[in-house]
Amino acid sequence: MSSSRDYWLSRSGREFEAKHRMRDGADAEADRLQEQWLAAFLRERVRELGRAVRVLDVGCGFGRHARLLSTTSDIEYFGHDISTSMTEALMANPPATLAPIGERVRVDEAPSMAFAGQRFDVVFTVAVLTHNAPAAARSLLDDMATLLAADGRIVLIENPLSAHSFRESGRYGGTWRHDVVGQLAPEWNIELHPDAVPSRGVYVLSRAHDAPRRLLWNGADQAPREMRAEEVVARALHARASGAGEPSGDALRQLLEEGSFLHQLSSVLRDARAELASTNASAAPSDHASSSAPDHASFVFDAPIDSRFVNDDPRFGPLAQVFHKEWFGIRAACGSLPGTKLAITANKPLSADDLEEIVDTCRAKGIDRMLLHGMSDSMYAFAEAMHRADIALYIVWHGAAAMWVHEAERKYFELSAGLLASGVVQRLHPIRRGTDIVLGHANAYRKQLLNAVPNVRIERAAPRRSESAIAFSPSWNLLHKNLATNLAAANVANRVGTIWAMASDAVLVGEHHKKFERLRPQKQLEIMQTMAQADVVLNVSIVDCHPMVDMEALAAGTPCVRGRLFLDALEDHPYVRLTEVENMLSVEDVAHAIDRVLAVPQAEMDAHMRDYGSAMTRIALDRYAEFAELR
Amino acid sequence: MGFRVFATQELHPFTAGGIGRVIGNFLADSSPEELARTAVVLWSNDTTVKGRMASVYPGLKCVVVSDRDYETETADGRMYPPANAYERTHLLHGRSVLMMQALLRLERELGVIDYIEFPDWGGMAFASCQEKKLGRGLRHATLAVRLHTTDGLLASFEQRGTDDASLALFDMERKAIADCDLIVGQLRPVAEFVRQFYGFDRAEWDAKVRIHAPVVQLDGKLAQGAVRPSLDTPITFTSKIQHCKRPDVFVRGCVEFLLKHPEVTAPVQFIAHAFDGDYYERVKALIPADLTDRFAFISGLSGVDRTAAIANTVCVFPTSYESFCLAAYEASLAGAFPVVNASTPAFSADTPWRHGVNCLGFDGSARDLCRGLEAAFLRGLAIEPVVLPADVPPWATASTLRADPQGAPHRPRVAAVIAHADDAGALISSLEALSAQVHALDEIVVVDGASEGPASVALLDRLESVPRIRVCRTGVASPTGSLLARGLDEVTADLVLLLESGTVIAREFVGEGVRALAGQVGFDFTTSHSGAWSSDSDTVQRTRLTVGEACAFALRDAAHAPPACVLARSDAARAVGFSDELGMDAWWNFHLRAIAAGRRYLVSSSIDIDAAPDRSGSGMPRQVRQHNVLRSLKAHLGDALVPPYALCSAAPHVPVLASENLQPLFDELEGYRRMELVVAATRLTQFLQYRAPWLLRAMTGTLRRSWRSYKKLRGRS
Repeated sequence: MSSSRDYWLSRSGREFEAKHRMRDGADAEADRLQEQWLAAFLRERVRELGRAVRVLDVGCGFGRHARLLSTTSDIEYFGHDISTSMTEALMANPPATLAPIGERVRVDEAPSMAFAGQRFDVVFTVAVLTHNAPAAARSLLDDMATLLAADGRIVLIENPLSAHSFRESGRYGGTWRHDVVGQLAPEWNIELHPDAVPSRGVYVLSRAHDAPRRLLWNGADQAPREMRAEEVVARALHARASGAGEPSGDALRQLLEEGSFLHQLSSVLRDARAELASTNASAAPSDHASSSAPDHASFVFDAPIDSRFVNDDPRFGPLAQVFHKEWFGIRAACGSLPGTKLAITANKPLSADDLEEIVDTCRAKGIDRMLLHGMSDSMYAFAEAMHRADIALYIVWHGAAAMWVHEAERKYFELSAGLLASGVVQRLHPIRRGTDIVLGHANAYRKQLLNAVPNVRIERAAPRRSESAIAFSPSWNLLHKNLATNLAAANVANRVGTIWAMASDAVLVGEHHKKFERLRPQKQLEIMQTMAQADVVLNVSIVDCHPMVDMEALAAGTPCVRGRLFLDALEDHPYVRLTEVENMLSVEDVAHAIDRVLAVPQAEMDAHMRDYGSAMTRIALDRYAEFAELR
Repeated sequence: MGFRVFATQELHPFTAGGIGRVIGNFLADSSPEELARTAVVLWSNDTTVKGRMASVYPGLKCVVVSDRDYETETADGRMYPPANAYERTHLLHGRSVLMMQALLRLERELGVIDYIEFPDWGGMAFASCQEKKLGRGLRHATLAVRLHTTDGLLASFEQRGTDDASLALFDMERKAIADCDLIVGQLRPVAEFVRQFYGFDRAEWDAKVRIHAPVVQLDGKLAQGAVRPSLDTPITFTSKIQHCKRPDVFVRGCVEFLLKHPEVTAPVQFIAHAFDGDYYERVKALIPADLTDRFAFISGLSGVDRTAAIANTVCVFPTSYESFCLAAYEASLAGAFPVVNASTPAFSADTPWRHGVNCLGFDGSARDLCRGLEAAFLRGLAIEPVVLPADVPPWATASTLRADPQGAPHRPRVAAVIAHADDAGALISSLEALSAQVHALDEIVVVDGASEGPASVALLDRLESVPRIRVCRTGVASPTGSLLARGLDEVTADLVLLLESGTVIAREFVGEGVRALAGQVGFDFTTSHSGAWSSDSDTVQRTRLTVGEACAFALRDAAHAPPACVLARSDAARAVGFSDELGMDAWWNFHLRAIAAGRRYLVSSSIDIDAAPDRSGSGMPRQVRQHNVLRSLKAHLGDALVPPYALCSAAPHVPVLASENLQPLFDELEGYRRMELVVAATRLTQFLQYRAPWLLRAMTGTLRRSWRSYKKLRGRS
């Protein structure tokens, strides 16, 4: 999810409305003119069509336009929003003419999901696309188009005319200006009303069908006239520079040249950002790889993705779990653990300012100790700084000795051990059982630290299948993940009908007996939702500590076939006996395990999973508390 | 005709203090017509003040602003630091911004404002002056700063410690005076003293200084003449009981006089408030036991009673420094016999005070005070009341002083230099922000320090095909300073935006900077605070504040220097230059050398920069960073050229920079050079206490303690 989306999902519509009411001066005047223009436009549509019009307000929020338009009998108002909290005030106290409100105002992921099968004469947004990045804005526009009647209009009251699309600020989780004419809606006929509302742009979109696209300039200065796209760009740039009148001659040539420059630059940047996001999403050679698009902030406390699946435990009040923003595996594991969450960047050491701010925040929260999950140059410097600030430190090494084949793994383990030896950290715990012996340190914690099941309830849409089942592997295609063996086993397992893999380079070797699909890269919640649609999860890895995939599968209510982990707890549990594969490199053994799991009656397996999951979580929290010397 | 506005946090009778009294007297002296075109913007957290102002000053436009009125986001969409961020500079910095916001609202309400007068104390004019020079508001108002006495100047006369906040305030106050349109000196010698204290250029100073004495209003009867002291005429001290007013000199001088002349029966009275109980007790302890019944401490008098108590006394003003000393004028007009410290500029030649005519002067010592009292009591001198100055008020000529920014004679060409190394996402963010600028950039130079990441390499390849963009590849990993220096060499434009990849600037940053630099020839750089909206809330995070050319504050820490992003005149940036060897600290080094060279900055009070994080902090001990930054500079102590790192080790945070601004101090030091070593050392200490206390105090235990606690977090050793 984008940060802008997160922002609006967590905003209160009542607070936002109160803030709107306090607006004065130019903003209030613009609001008034925009409502006046919208009402006049809809009246004109009523006149043109000779009947009442069905209108959909996308991003209806606290109901500003619902209350305005619901009073007109010729307008059938409908509203959509992605945010329950933003619409709560409208739903609680709707205008009488919108009863029943559930029919008229709906909250859903997309307008087309909220009003599937319906058609509207006018679909409009007011300051909604401006809160979406270009790709998301384009996606929303496409979605709106599916709800548009044959001769319908899309009205966008958004940013003023712009020659290119760009991120404008970080406010509200990010705001953007869109080049509506050139980049957002290049295939639409557009009627531009650049002067209708000060500091905003009004665009009326209609389908071009098979005819050449038309741009109609409807400014205040002269009668409406058709205009070429280049001329619109020049006017946008002219207006940006506060130019008066119409550009012409050399000025026009300069503006066109500037427009060309901006278009080329924004095109290069758009492609580069897309590639970067795609690279970060798919390339994950280890947990030390980047998992998401770059986030500018070098640290974040209690980000929504780190606190939504927490297993609360009051013992962890004075503790912060510190991990790397970019290492998604460890980050997911920390997401289930209690305590304040602090995600720091692994890319570069934090600045002194950042460190000061972190210490200030910790002091304000009463935090006196930290669990550092994973090691990097950044974490190393962080540990030293926190030690100087008198914060007690404990390191959890999420790795196995076998991974020391990689130089980076060796280096960072040695750095961690050095911190322990020098007294900077109190304890260091390598999760893989039996590794701590290399430390030879009296302060080592011998019990194994285990992961907890994410505290989330994922609803299954349908009961698990025992035949023609779906087997899903969310692993990356890496040697130690043993993906090829897992897929090959599913391919020959008797009870599997479909195989899903998430790695973009996953390959099913040999003859395809089963339906095989590569899914797009997903984030943690989506992965669990996908698990809930599958019947068995595959995670028979060769080298692992205590894989989060196994815990996520439990949260999704889907059993997970796993390799031998040699944990020091619950290894004799019936669930483990059913799901564990002794010989992880044997395709046959893995296939047998898959069939064995799928053959267990659903109720029996559900009971095993519930019992195992709750016991595992309890042990995990107790051990973490013990390790961090919490009472 | 527009409004006359007084922006203040003191106003008689709602607050104590001389600044409020001066403004109150101006208001009392105004005609109803003048009052109808006058506004007072008063900072006060006392909610009752507004109602009381209306009754005390009927007809006056009164605006009371409190801390609650501070806006982190204004109607025009600008973002300001959260109020607690000013704890990293000075809380009065925030108040200056609060006052600026209030004045902008007042301007929208009133229309044209002709004249705004700020006190110099607290740097209250700081933010407003910057806002005007950036062309964002108050464009038609003359912004005047009246020289009451800055905290920085006062600190040189007081016994107190110093800290980072004091240094920030020193710089703010200095910059407010430097950047205002009009400086109002209350007496010419005092104005000159202030000029020398801050080392301002004489020609620039003379062009904008006006002399205007305050109105003196007497609470009580105006005397026809001064008292002729007799043996029982009381001796009075009417100033505050604080060190710089020198009540100790008063006590010691009076005691010496009384012991020497037992025939004198005069009582000695303090008609003064004490705000520091400990100091008050120390002063009282100076009085010998056998004279305690001769001394009286009187407080709580009404204005009229106070005037009556002062009249017909010998009134002593031993104060070390005054910008005017209303109390002395009031005493003289009430019929008292003033004995004044003539070494104080406010009582020196070229002021209304005439030794033997309307006062007796002494040299500031207790011994000479005794001699002065002998002259007053025993020689039967007759003196006259002081004659008040009659200067033309500065607001009377304000409309002729308007200094609207002039439009550029031509559209300057503007470039950007981005230093980049292996962070494609950061470079994309910076370029997106540049493409969004309201003022189009004419050239963009991306200097790459041998990026190896495939995303960076691919992006740089693509950028090479975009017009106006030049990609310079160093081929070898290079420090930030080297990349920026290389980029500067490539620039052909008049102005250049210098930044790191990852730095994002507000849309108007370049456009406003271009206009401001075009209209303000004395300035070479524009910059702003740095910070960003948090992604998941409405708060501003990672704020880093700047006060521009912080000649004292910026020496202490990289975070106190301007941020790592400026719009600069290309020539000026090249003249200052970037270190070829420093990483992110190249910025700190750059700013320090720019400040030392007398370069000036325009600083936006809003947050217009989201600077790439300073990664230097955790990689190197702070002493080493500071050493590296300072070692390329030159430091002088008199004629002696000393290695800056030597000063650094003695006083790690406050070494001396060689600059034209500091040269007058060094010139004065020269006089001590030929003296005997011990004498010179003593004089040097006195000199520094007086003129550069921050340097002297940097060597004290207070700073060492703060250094130790600071490095505990930031440093490695």
